[in-house]
Amino acid sequence: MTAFFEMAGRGVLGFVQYLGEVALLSGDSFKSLATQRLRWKETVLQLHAIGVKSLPVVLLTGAFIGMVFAAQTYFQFHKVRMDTSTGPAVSIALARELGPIITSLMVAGRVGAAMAAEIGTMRVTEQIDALRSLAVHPVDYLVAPRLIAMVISLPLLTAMSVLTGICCSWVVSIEVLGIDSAYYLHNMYKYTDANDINTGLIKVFLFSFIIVFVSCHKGMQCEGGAEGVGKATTEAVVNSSISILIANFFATMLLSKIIPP
Amino acid sequence: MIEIQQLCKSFKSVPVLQGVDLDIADSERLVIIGGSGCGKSVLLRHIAGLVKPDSGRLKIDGQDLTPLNERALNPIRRKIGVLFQGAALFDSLDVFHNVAFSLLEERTLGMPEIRQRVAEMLAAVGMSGQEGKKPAELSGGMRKRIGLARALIHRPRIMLYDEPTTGLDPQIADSINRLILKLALEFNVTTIVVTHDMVSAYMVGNRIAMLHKGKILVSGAPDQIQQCSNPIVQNFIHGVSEEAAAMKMSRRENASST
Repeated sequence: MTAFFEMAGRGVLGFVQYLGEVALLSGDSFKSLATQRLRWKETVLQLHAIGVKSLPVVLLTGAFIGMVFAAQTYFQFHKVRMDTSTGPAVSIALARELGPIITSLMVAGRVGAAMAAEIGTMRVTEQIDALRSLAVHPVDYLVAPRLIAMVISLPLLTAMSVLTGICCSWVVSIEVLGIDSAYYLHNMYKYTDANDINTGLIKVFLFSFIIVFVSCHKGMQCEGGAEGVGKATTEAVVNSSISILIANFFATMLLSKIIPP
Repeated sequence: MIEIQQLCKSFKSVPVLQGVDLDIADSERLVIIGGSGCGKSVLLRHIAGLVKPDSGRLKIDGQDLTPLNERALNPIRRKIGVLFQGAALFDSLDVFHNVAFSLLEERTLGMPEIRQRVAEMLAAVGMSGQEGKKPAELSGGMRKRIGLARALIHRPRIMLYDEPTTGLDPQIADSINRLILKLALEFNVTTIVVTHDMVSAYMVGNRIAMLHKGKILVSGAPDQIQQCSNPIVQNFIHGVSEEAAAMKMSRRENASST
């Protein structure tokens, strides 16, 4: 019994310490953004790595999620003769939940892993110590440009993913499932409003902080050579994804009070 | 002037430094020797301001480093250059941007002056014309030379070398030792070298200090260290293992008893 409580206590302490470290990194990053000059060259390189290079995978994911969601919605709605409600159901679901979540998870997997691996390799090969010895704070050089690039890229990627999903769902609904285009679009415009899109974009703004802080923290704390880098990379993706899903629930509940659906 | 007083450091409750006392004068060339894992590199990293001690004092030019936070340490770090064991060049940058890194960050010089300084520094380390290469294209010795150029370009007053000849063949190691000596004399910098390579220690240092069990065991000029009567020092500088030393001792005892 004592061993169980010891193990549980160690787990809780480890979790609290982890949260504290991520919070300190967040504080350092905001302080850096407020007090230090931004390295524009690094930021542009990160915008390319995060935004431009993620675009194909995000668009492809958005397209197929939109198409499959349209098909599944139609199959159920068709039973109660609500075929033309497929449009608003797809667009609202994509704007509010599916678009932000799927895009953030794809970016966490692609970019979060790369961030943890790159910073982790720098850590184990003493490059981060070299930065410090050259009087450059690692947060200023490594985290701040990634944060700015992510905060700009993720909402744009999400918007493009949602748009692609809606367009592809329209094509499937009209061309494959035989729904009337005029009614489909009319209902979609009628029931989807700016608040649906705003809710999704506010959430991805929060998710962009989660991806950067969790992944950079894992990279910066990396120890133990190639094995350590591999472990940090895996943990960065897993922790970012879980945090995004948990944060999404609380953000949805909170935003439903501020921006009623 | 570097003053180290009662410096202690433990990692996961394993003591590494257990009260190091050491003073290093300006323009001195100090070599810190000691067995693997005795804490030489940890001591060097304390001097570079990269590690915080558990207790004790470390002063550079009278300023205590121990209470300073990461950002407050930066002005002191600008006085120090570090050559890391694996050179620690930035993989994503070419040789020019690696060497020019601190000048580009400081943003006090224009690009033509920075290019000239980089060319001068690469010439000083015998690597002229390598500006466009990536670290992955360089050999171990070349990486160390570039690391040296990067550390020296902002004209530090103190240079720290972490195992500069480890992993290099004897000829390259000799050229690195000569380079360290040449740069120390040419730029008049305080030089601290951590090594267990005695050839390097005798060649570079005008003082040698031996770290043993987390403390400075002896310190003196290279000829004083060679003549030191302490068996631990003698065994280390002549490369006699603990097992061989114990066997030699027991043979001597047996011979004296018979």
